Amino acid sequence: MKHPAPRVDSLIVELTRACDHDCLHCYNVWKNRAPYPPGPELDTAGLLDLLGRVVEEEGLTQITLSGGEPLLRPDLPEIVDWLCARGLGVTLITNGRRLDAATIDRLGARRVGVWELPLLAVSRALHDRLSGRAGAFDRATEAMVDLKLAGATVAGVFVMTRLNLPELPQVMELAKALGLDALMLNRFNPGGRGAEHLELLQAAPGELAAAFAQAERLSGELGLELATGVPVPPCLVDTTGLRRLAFGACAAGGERAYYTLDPSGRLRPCNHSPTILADLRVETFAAARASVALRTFRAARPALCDGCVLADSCQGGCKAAAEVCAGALDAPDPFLAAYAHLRRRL
Amino acid sequence: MNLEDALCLGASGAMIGILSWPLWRALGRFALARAPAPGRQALRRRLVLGFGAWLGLLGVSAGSCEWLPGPQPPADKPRPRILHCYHRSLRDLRDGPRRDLERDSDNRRRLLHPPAGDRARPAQPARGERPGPHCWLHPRVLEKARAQLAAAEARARSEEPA
Repeated sequence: MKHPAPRVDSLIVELTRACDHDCLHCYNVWKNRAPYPPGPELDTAGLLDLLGRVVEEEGLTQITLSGGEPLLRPDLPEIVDWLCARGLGVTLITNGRRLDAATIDRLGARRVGVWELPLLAVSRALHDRLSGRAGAFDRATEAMVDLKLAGATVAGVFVMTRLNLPELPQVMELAKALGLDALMLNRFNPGGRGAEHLELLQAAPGELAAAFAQAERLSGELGLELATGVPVPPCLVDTTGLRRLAFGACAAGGERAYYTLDPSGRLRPCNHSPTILADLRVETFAAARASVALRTFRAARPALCDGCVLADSCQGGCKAAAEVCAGALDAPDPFLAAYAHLRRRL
Repeated sequence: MNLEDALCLGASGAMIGILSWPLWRALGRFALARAPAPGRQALRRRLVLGFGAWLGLLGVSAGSCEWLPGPQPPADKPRPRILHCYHRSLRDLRDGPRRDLERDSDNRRRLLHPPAGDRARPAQPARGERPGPHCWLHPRVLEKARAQLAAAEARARSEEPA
């Protein structure tokens, strides 16, 4: 008997495809090699009308605004006003380039619950190289300080790549110095433009394990909160000794799923996957949760994981990355595929 | 199929068997000897009841399978927390008991100021060196960060009980 996926209370909204950075690790689905269906971006009225319906239908309490770069939408303050007026929690993911004191004031530093900005390196040149834009480091760090001056809750995002892993300890010190409330350690997860830089950016399991251990130690010394967002297959990286870092598995289709609304109003299982579950301009969220596409997504497991005691919970890493890089949901996560020979038996 | 699914299916199969036993007996009687008209009526009733019970149990079985947890790894194996989402964890950060990070200023002061005697601001640090954020940040940003720390410290002092 087939059950629809459970309701969720949180949604990611990609406000625009436009971005003023060109990150090497960018996973935006419209930058995938396989073309993502084009479509007009919803205007303010269309977006708020759709959100109003979905919020009511699903009982959402939390919206994460992303992109592209959400600050390129001139109606962003209006969107934040609308969300706050309905008592919804707002998280804003931005590169920080356009965040000055006036913009922060207009958006409301404390009305946005959590601001997420990239902190990719302490070397200006490396941060700018990873961001694909000169001046990115200075703009991001200044925006972080301006946000803290305004009393905001700010999290830095460190994408763990082969290029910047050696700087992780210094990045943690910088995050502490800037007064950030947390630092997110997200292993590089190929997709979008990032899939073109797999060889350049993907760190080896040993490098990641050493970095996590170092981060754990420094986190205690500095008093810096850490978070992770990308699944790390436990057969490749043993995380059992880490107490300050929580690792998760793919949440797609579960009650903590982060369904993602694209700029044209189409719903996907997560921000990395190009699978379209439903067009919410004409379909309901419930239809997306009951869709065959979502059932297929939830059920997919790489054959590589057959016989593993953790196969059902771990699910073999990130299925969206497998979908983008190998063209199949049940293909191994590219990280797992590259280092399959190093797997521990679990 | 995992162990829980197998147990569910096995248990529901056994219950169906037990509950529909009168039906099987009646069917057997019917096959062996033509039942009289009242007997056929009772048979029809049992058939409908038995089919209803089977459908109901199928529903219960499917529902309970959905809610059962997946296989758990042995205690000494890693247990990835299922359904973790970083946006949620950061929301917890905000909604949870207010942490004391802003009052934890010793580390920040150390990081934002060069050690005594080291007044010169070196150029970009070499890889592996950790001279401190005071030499990575743009001077304007560094000044702002120091001002923010001072403001946080002043706020913390003003909030301290007299």
